[in-house]
Amino acid sequence: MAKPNFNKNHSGSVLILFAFLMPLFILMAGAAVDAGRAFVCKAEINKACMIAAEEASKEIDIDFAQMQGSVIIDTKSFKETVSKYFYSNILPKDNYNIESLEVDIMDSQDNPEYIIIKCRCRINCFFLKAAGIDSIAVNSAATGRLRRIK
Amino acid sequence: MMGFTDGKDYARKTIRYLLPLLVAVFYLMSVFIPFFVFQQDIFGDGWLKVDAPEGELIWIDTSHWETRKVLINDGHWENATRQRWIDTSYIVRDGYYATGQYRVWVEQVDLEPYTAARYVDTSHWETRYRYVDSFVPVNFTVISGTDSYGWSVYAFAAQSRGMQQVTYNGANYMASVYVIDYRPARGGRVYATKYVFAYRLDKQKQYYNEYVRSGYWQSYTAYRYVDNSHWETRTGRYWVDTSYTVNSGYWQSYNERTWVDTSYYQDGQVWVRSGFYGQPLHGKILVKKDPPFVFTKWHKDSAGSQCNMELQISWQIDNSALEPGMKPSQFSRAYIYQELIRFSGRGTEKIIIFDKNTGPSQQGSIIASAVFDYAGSSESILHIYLYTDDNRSVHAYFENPVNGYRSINLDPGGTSSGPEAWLGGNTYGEAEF
Repeated sequence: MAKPNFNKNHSGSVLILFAFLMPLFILMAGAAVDAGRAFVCKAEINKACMIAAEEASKEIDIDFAQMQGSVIIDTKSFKETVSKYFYSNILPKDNYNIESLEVDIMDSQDNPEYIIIKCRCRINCFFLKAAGIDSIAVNSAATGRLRRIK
Repeated sequence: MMGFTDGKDYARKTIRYLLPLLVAVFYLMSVFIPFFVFQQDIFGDGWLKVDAPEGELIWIDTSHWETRKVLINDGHWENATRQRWIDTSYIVRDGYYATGQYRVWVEQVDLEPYTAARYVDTSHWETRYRYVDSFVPVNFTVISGTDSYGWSVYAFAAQSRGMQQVTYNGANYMASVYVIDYRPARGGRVYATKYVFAYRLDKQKQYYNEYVRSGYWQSYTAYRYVDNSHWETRTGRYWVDTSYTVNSGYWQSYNERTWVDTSYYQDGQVWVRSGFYGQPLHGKILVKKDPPFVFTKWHKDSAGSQCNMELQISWQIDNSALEPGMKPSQFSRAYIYQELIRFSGRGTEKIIIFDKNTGPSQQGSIIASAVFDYAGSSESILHIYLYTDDNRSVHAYFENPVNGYRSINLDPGGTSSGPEAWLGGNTYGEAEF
């Protein structure tokens, strides 16, 4: 029975290995790039949430405060201020979209201990699409309250 | 049957729980409804304070600036060239001796005796005496015309003759004299006298010192200096002085620095201190502040305007105790300012709110408005000074904190502390001065 005769020459094997691993490297690098974009986006919406929380905290009913001496949130201007300052501090881009922007007043409108602004953003992936991941969800939240100058 | 029992239990339970609830609701409504129905200004008793003048009279300062002539000291140094006479005159001493008669002034003072008189005073103290009457107390009784028994029998008829001077055994006495001059029915006469001796009159020698003035004039020999200076004609060798003076000199130029005074008078403002003591002011002051809680101008109200503070200050002077001839007191100027104590030791700000003449009035009011740049603590004071024409004043003041706020971000966990409470709250006050 004759012994199979394989070619003993190994030249080109690295090329083949590289050809197999190259897409994996590109995918990892792309994942890192997409993750970095997600972190940048998170920092940006976090900043916008903090500014919006800080500005919205000031939206109290000043007429009520002048007459009664206590704090009550002016809900109409409050929501407008949140929206205004949030979207003013975030750059509109094609590759992400704000899915939700929620505002909560703790404990109540007429006893506002503090406010919470929560944002959920979805960022479109570029490289990770190759791995079947089309987008990444980024969440951020910020709190704010009013402080009397003392 | 069972259903009926269940219904009774249910009603009982309902009453048991509902009744306390209704009582509580009724109590709360009875307490709070008047506040909503009868809305009024929040009145802080003692919030508005007034510096009431003490004492009967107060010093009314009428010091003022007055235009007067004021001496303005001015001048300068000036260099001038002047001439002065340098005297170089000298005396040429000359003369000669001559023989013959010449007159000499002889100075002579002699001591001469003369007769003078002097008074020799021989005044002295002398011890003298005199007799003075004295009363020596004595206590004895002498009855004449009867004995003590007979006197006691007819004592009922005794009549007093008063205190008399009586001589007894050669001595004088003061004695109460009683006399019985009784004629009994059986006939006859009973006459007796009773002396109750009280004092003995004695003459006592009393010594005393007396200054006796006496003296005489005495002649004696005294001495005095007499000027007997005289001209004397003498014969002999004497010096004939022929000295003479040679007059000479010249004019010399010299520089002199002199002060040229150019001081002058001009009209100037002089602070004249004056005043008088007058009756202190009495009356009432009312302050209305809106809003109760004041904020800085950086916060906007619902109309988009800066938060501010409105003040309405009313007064009424009580002139009922005015003295005749005195003019009724009237406020003619108001000065209102806020002394704002900033937080965190950032110092004190003074905000002048009103500083105008108001038109003299015994009863009036002013409205003022203010905005504040900075927040101030509860120690911030709003001062109100009301002045009369003669500079009398009333000082009212109250605590007026100014609120300000900012916003902060919190940790994700939030906080459990409640919202901020604002400083202030008073909106109306009245005080008497």
